[in-house]
Amino acid sequence: MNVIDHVRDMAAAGLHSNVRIVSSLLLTMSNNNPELFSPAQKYQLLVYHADAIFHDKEYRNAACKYSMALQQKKVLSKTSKVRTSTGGAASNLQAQSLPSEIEVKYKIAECYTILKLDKDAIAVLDGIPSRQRTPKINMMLANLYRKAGQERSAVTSYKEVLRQCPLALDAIIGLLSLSVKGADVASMTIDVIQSIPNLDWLSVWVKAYAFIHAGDNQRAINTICSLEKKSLLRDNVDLLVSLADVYFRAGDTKNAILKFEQAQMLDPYLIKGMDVYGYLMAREGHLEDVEVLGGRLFNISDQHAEPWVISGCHSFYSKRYSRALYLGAKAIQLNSNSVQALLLKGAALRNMGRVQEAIIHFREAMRLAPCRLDCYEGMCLIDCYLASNGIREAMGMANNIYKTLGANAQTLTILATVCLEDPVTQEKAKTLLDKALAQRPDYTKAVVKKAELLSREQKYEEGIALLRNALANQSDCVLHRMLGDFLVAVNDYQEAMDQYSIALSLDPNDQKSLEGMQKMEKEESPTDATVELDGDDMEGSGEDGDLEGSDSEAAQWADQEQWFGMQ
Amino acid sequence: MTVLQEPVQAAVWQALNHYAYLDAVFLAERLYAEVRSEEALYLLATCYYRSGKPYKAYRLLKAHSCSTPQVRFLLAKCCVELSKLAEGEQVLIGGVLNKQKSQDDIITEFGDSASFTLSLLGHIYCKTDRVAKGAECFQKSLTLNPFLWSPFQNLCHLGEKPDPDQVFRLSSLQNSSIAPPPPSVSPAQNPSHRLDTALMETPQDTLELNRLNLESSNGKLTSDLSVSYIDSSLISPETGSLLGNTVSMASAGSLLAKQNKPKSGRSLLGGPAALSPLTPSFGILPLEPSPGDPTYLQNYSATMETQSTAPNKKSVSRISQSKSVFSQSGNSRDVLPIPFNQSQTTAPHTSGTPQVLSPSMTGPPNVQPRRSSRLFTSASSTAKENSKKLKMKFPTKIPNRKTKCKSAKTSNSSNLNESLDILRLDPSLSLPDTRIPQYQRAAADSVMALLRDLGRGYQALCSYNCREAINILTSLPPQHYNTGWVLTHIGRAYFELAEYTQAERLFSEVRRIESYRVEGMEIYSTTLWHLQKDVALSALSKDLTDMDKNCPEAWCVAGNCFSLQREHDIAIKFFQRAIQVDPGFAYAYTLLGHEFVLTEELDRALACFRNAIRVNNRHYNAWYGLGMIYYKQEKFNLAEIHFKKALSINPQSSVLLCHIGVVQHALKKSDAALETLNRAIGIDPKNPLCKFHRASILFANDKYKAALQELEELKQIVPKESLVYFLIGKVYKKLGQTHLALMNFSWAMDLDPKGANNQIKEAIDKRYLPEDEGETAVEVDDSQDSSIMTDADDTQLHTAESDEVL
Repeated sequence: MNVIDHVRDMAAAGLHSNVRIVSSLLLTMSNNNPELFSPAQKYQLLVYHADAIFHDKEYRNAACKYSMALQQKKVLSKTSKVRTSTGGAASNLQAQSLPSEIEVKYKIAECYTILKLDKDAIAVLDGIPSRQRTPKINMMLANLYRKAGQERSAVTSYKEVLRQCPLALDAIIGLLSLSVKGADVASMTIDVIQSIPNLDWLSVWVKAYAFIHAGDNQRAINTICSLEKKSLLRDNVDLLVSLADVYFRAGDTKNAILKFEQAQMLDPYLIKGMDVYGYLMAREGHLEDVEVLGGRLFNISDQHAEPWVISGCHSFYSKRYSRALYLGAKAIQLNSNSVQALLLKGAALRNMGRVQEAIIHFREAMRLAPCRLDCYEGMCLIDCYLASNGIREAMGMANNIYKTLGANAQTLTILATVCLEDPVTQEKAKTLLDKALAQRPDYTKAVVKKAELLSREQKYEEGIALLRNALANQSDCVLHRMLGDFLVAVNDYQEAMDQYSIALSLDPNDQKSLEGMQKMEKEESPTDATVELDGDDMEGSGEDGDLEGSDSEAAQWADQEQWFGMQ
Repeated sequence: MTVLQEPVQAAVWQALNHYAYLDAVFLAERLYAEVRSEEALYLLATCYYRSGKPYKAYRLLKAHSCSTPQVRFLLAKCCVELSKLAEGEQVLIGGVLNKQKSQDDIITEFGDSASFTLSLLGHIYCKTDRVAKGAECFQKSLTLNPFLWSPFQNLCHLGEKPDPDQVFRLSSLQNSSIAPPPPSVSPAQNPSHRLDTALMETPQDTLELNRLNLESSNGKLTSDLSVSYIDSSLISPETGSLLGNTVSMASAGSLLAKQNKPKSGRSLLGGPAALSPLTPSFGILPLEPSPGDPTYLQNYSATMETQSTAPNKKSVSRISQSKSVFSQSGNSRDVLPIPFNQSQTTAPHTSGTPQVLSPSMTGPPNVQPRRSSRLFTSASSTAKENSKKLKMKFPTKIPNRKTKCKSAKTSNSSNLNESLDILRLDPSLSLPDTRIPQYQRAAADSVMALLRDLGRGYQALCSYNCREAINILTSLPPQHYNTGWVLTHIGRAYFELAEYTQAERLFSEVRRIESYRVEGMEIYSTTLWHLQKDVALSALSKDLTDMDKNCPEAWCVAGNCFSLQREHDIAIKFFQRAIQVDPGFAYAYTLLGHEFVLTEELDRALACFRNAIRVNNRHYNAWYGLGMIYYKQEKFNLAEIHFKKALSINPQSSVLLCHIGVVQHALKKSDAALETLNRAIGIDPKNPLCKFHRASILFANDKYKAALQELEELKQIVPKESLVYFLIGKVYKKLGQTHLALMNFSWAMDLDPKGANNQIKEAIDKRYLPEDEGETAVEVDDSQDSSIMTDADDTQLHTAESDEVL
């Protein structure tokens, strides 16, 4: 047993720090005296050394060492060829026990991916002849291709993975995300499904994800729900998160939060998808919960973008934008594909007035997730455009959304909102809103916009009818407040007071309702004041103090007569 | 594990029945740890809920996907209890993508518990200010199950006017569910019972079908006999009502319970020989097992336990069971099991695997009646308990039969026809079946009649037709009249009419009959407050706070007690405590508001009244309170708006009309004011306050003659009221009759000697000016009011107060 074997055993035993020191020393020895180790042994040493460095997370260093090992290997193969021609059986044996060249290449690619040098990684992996590629390599390659936008190559790689491992579900998701038809994907797994018992749900699963990636939220939800109903797959966290995410995309915040909540109750260590959960909760105003969630996730891992995004959302919604900006940037640094992080950073930039930078972030988010409405919604991007007075540009963007996501209530509303900004297109906005409301009669945003429009046109009665209609199915602070405003406009103070108090009971901190209420009371008082003045005049001028006396007396009666008479 | 499940479940239910919640929870936790099925989950959650820990049930259920309607209902219930209304709504009706389920969807989904579900949903809607939808839900709930009182009550609170005659009657659907169910019903309800497998349903349904056929053939026979049943139930409405409850449980309960009902009848009646001697005992049958009857429960559990383990013990356990339940039914009882068993063994069954089926069977049937019992009424009498338990027993037979059947006819898919033939040939089996429903029907009808009366009374009270309410409620049969509920509501009606002595009489009666009653005691305390009976009030307060520290009523009483002692700060604390205990108790907010007014904290008072309205926007007292504050702040427009709102809720109130009149006068709408006051006097001709205001307005409008006449009348009603004489004096002075004027002024002074020092004297000197002190005095001195004026015996206090006023 020579020293190399010892090193190999140590490496196999996972004593990486030890291997690192020893191999470094041995390598120096070998450099100083090339005769000390054979090329094969040197190659081995290099690989073990690189492995140890890899474990110490010095990826750039590791990649360099791995390349050196590869170089060594090349020398080795040349010499071994020479040797095999001369006929060295022993060296052949030794060659077999050598770490495989492909494995080394994979490691290099891994280093590059971690270092975000995707192109280099692809180049390395591409160098491996397609026959020798293991599923692992294909998978990584596919992911890299997809990220780089080389869809065709990605598809072939994924398919290759699936051919070898039919249950590679992530590959299936990858394929589906590259808009491969669900049926095609399913056909690749069909054999396995039939051969293994209790896997009949797999085809449904594929279908569900096909719907998700096709943007057919409605059917995706239905399919996942049907999956979840099967007792075997009940309370599966991944399914729940997917379901919650689809709900979120479909704009059903309530259900999304419920499902996320359930998922994280089932698995408190869940990280995936929690950024969306935090964002939703922050949007709904449960800031305390968001804070708790953020803290909890930081305890689980601070190497993921999610906890940072959640804290960022908390800061953003408590109006600390610079902090949100920093947290968002940190999240992006950890995971450049995090849509939520991009949106957070963009929104923070926008609110800090750095519109151009914000636009860049939103664009990136849109590129990553073209199906996600909330990249557009909240008027992120459009607001930016509007802020820099580019209504035309905004209109173009809105039209674009409308085209990509189809004519649903949300897109129609977004478009209408842009139209509302331009006095020329008011009429168009109106028809768009009507269309949106026809699709979803109680879509709050559309109702609010329509009400705004109506109040601008001073069609109060119509607005009241609209709001009452919307309030029949839901209670929303904003709607109640708007109804209150409308009622004030038609001098129905009684009702208006009711509506304001309902709005305040739903959200005690709603400043606008309070303002509305106070304004109304003020509006009331001037009329009173004038009446009072008249009264005073009369009393002052009239010589009959008795009249006055009787008046005030009556008032006194009313006063004393019970506060409690009516208890 | 499924084999294990059943006895454990039975043990859990038994523990629950014996209020041993700790044991039940522990066992259920073990069971859930073992099997982790949705059913065990439901059982565990039920244990948590019943042991008074809805938050536990909530968190447990929330972490798991709930697919069965019963689990979702329980989760929603917990949500509502923890005031997570939006979530509760989402659980109940949250469909996919914001598309809410319609009520019909709910009905099909929840099946028999739909009425409760809708009631819960209505509650949520009302709390989130969607009154129209809430009312709709309550209506629907009532049509589904007319035995439910709380939806009706809620409807009344919403200001709806449901017609009790329409609501409390058995519609065709209820008829069918109480009488032998026609085949059309069962299929309709099938989808709701996912747990009850098809194996279970089909044979049952066909049985029902056959029974119907038989009924038509035996029609003549039954009609003769049924008369006596109806009579018995009519003669003794009490028993009738009790039976009605049984029926209600059935209709509210699971389909299984319903389907088993005819079967129970069969077992009750036994063979044809048992028919005639048994008839009279029908009326009292459900009373027999006393609520805590240990033998019954033991037997119950015994059957539960045996059924899963040893099928051959079945018949034994069943006999013992029937014995304990029908212990009064005479000798024939020993014969009973025989036909019963026959029917069991011959009952058609498709083959099944009982190990799989039985756990899913035992769960729901037990569950349903129980849950309904929880919702049915809070004040469920012991008799109701009985009927519940009676019902609960029936479902246990199902697994019995299943296993039995299996042991008897193993895997023999005994064809339906065979058994049908047996049923047709054997009239002794079918005869009683037709009878029971009819008799039950009669009992149910009598209950409905009672509910109609109560409903009318309650509705009249809620729309403040107090006289009518009193009339209706006092005409109830004595055994119902002399209950806390009825007397409290009559007392409340008198209270609203400001007839406090009457109200007090009734409330003290309530205290005598049901000393444990807290509902309505806050009204009693205010009555005592008005009557200035501080001793009685403090005794009441002590008793209630000792009894239950967690009910808002007790703290309201305590607050009133201190308010009467003029310890306003302490009173405020107690009212705040009441709110703390139950943030949904509108009256506590109102009382707190009044108290704040007394301590001159108008802003906080405004907030209190607003809160009261938020909690219950038909709480007219709070609207009145708001109006009063605005009046004080001289925002007469707003005051009028609020008074009018209060009036729209309570249109019969002369006091409110009077206030509107005063406000209108303040707004210089004297004609309108007079009209309003005339209306007020029309409603209550003896209301001195209205008359006084009318007189003052007339006086202010220079109609001295009319004013004088008014005041003369007023003098007849309240002869010792100094202000009246003072006003008369002023009128005379205007008319130039100085002597009379001076005479009246001096009378006023005599009646109110302290007041003479300032204002009256000043009036005599024609130097009257309103003083600020006067006003503050008014507020400190709240207690002087019309109620006191009507009570001539309270002159002392009254004069003391008018002192400060004048």
